[in-house]
Amino acid sequence: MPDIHVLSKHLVNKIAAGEVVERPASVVKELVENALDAGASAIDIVVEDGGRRLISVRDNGSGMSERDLALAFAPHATSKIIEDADLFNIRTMGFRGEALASISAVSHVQAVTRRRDSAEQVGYEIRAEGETISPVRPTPASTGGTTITIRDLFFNTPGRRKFMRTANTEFGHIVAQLVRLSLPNCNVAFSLTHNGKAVHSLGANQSLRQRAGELLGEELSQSFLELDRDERGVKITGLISPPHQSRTSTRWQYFFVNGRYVRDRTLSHALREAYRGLIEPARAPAAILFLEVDPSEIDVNVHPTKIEIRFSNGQTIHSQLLAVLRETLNNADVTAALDIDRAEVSDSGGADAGRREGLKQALADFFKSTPPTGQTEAPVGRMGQYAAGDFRRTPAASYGYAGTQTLPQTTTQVAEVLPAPDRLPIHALQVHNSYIVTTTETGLEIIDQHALHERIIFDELKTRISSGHLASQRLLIPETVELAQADKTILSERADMLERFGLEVTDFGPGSVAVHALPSLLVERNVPAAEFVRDLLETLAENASAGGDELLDKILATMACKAAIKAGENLTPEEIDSLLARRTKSASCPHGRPTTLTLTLAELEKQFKRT
Amino acid sequence: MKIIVQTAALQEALNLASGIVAVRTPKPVLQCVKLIAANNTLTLLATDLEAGCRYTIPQVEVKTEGEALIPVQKFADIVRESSGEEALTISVEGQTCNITGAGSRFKLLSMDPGEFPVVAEFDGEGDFQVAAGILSGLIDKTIFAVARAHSHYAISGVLWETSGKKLQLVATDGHRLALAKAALAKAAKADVSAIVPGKFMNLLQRATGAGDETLAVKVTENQILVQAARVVLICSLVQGNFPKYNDVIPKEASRKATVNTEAFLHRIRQAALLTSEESKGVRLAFGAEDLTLTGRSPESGEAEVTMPVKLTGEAMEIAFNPAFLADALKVVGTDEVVMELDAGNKPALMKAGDGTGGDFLYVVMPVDLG
Ligand SMILES: Nc1ncnc2c1ncn2[C@@H]1O[C@H](COP(=O)(O)OP(=O)(O)OP(=O)(O)O)[C@@H](O)[C@H]1O
Ligand SMILES: [Mg+2]
Repeated sequence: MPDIHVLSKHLVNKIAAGEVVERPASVVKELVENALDAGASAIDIVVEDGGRRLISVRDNGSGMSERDLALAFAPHATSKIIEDADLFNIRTMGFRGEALASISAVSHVQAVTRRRDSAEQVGYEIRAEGETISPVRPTPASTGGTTITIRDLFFNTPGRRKFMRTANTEFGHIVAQLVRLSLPNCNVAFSLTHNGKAVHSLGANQSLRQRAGELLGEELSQSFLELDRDERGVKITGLISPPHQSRTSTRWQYFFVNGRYVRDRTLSHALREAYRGLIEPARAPAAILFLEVDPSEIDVNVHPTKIEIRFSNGQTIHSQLLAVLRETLNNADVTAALDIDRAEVSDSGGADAGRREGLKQALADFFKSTPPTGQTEAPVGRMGQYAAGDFRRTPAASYGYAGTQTLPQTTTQVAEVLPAPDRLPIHALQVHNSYIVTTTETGLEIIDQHALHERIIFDELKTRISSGHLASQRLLIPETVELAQADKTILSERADMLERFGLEVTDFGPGSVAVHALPSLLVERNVPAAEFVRDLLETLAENASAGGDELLDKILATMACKAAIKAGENLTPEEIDSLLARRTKSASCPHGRPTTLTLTLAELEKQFKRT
Repeated sequence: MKIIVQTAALQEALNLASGIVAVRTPKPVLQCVKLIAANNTLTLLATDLEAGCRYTIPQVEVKTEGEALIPVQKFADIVRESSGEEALTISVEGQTCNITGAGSRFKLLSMDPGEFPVVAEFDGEGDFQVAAGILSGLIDKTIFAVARAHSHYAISGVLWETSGKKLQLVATDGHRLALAKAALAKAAKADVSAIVPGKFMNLLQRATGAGDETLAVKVTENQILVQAARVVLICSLVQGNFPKYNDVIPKEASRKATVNTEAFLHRIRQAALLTSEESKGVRLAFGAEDLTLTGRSPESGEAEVTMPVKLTGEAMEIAFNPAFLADALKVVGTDEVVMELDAGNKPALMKAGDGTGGDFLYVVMPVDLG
């Protein structure tokens, strides 16, 4: 083993830099936090090549004196804390005096600053790169504030440089940082420019809803419910989505403690808990939550990028947050906002009464041996001859006009020729509008209709995509979808892959894209373009590091899930037959859940104590 | 209120009215029908707040004028089960509504008629008049293209437009667009443009049939009212802007293919037998004299069928969702249709043959089968 020696200062800084500066977005975060600490009311961020070539942050804050500027890049130099006790009274974003030193250790830095209260048109400039810090020089400066420009990030750490992703990905991370930094500072104006193009321009003194609208999309923002509570030393404010605006991941959840974006289990747990029973378990609410607590109640010095904190009394925070969330959701009468289709699904899928009703209906239908009456039963060619009572169905149901119904396509065509569907042998029973029970030679099987259909579609899609691209239905009228900038970036980055899926999307001005073609399968199943694009984006974001094939599978699984028959959907005997006829060998759905449970006669006999 | 009313006439009225009540409503009054006995007629009002009807029954003898509000489902059941009786006597005393036949007597709880929402009245002559049969034909030719799923376009309804002596209905779901026109006997008094919910048109067809009866139509800022001999049907309009449909109707095409409607429909159905759930596409290869349709399903096999075609322009291939083509072919009503095509990724225009081409247009987007 080699001898132990003390690391050179240079190496120490580089190692420290690795913790603070992970990628271009971390630089943006540190610089913007400094600007906020300096009391800026306008912050302009300019980025080139995803931040790999240049990052510049200009603020109109306090500025620095000649002496302070000389010290700012020295390690452990800060104006924000002085002694131990200050660590538990932190009211600023920075406190370690480490960021600028870390950044300058791995890039070429230029800083120009002029004190806001100085009357002269003169400021100071300093340059730093790696070890070398140039002396401070006076320089003309027309306004007060600080501009820090970073070039060639990681120029001296090839390892890190290699880890940087494409410009688009890195820029996506920068946009994500902007969201986290600007949501708690709605009074501060922000602008973000990438390769000379203005990407975001957020005005000063916006309301949180306005700002959220610009950053996360108007539709979501308008739907948000408002939260405001100040009790027992904890102030909780923010916006949360009504249950019907749920997402497939927690990516739309923002927690801020004393203005700082944090990830915290206690907080996310409270949020999940509050929505339990209101949304499907696989989905997650969107939320922007601000907690203000006494700085002495938290420890912010537990993570190199300050993204985690420790509460001295997590239990209280949890219960207080949960209480406010529940109250807000209750007051909003969120059930009324659900549309009828959803309500129907959750009725039969959730409430006990609904289930019992579903079972009764299924049994009755089984013994009558006629097709159950339900919304999926809309035979081809009966257009314009609606019997009394059709008008009373839900809109979705009464529009089941003609042959565009999906699943029974082939069988309904047969049904057009054959006189009555009751010629089909009945050997399967749908229960709770969710499961199919069928007999086998050795016992019986219980099939999860959604999981099975999902599996079938997934396999078909895989076969298909291995030999070309998926069938794609062009749209006569392109559908626009509102998206955050980061998401648009991801889409344009993946354009080639999207084309294989039969999705064609083009830019449609700030904050939106236009969909020109959709996978035929989704059109058949009436999946709205916007819904699919959003879920796709979430799949992409969650699997950013996945390789080509793995990612492909993930996306196909998302599609299959969207297109598959849902739990709670009433199926006609033809639909059940068609589903069973197309069963494959695989006994699990693409997410790994089983599609079929088997009960053998032997097991039954044992259970009934016949043996 | 006390009336003697002909059972058959009442039953007919209730068949329609019971289709309009709201099902999922917390308000019991919306599950009721309102009876108004005045001027020797009985008027039945029903509404689900979006659609509504006013049905007048002249086959009645009004003993005492008055009003009642009773649960429509129960009332309809009673009347249906009394169809053996020539007439029924209905009288209201306080909260009770008595329905009496020869040897039968039912009591229903009547609610306060004042609680029932206002159902608009049709006054004046209306904006235009159209024969029920003609309107019904236009509805058939467009309603299948109404968007089924919710979408942010105002296309969950059918656009009704008049200009002078022309009435035109347009529907689109974003993938295809159907447009049907007909001539009016008399020019519209005022030109209208309104988006009418698809389900209301089903109701309209059911209530008015396809005969020669003349319907008067009136469009207000947010409602459409249709007056037939017995009944006035009312519905809230879909608010919003209908897509600029003229922009999506192709103006020129490099190829024109004329085919026999029935044969085409038959061939499409055959080819569609072997399409997979994933792709749902039928490929059409237009040659100088033959049209070849192919369907392919990786799991089950392939279909290839051929039929004659008259083609002007070069041979080409294009694929469609077979259901989209079949929907239009089923309603076009002419022996031949003309398909105007440009390229495999461009919209196709289908027109009715026999020189009536302009009266039915159908634009459909192709599928890219890869
Ligand atoms: N934009 C700015 N305007 C005014 N002063 C600044 C600005 N940026 C940095 N400074 C000064 O430079 C010092 C060092 O900044 P640096 O970011 O390295 O450390 P910090 O913010 O104190 O702590 P941390 O490492 O936690 O960010 C700050 O304490 C502050 O006094
Ligand atoms: Mg700092």
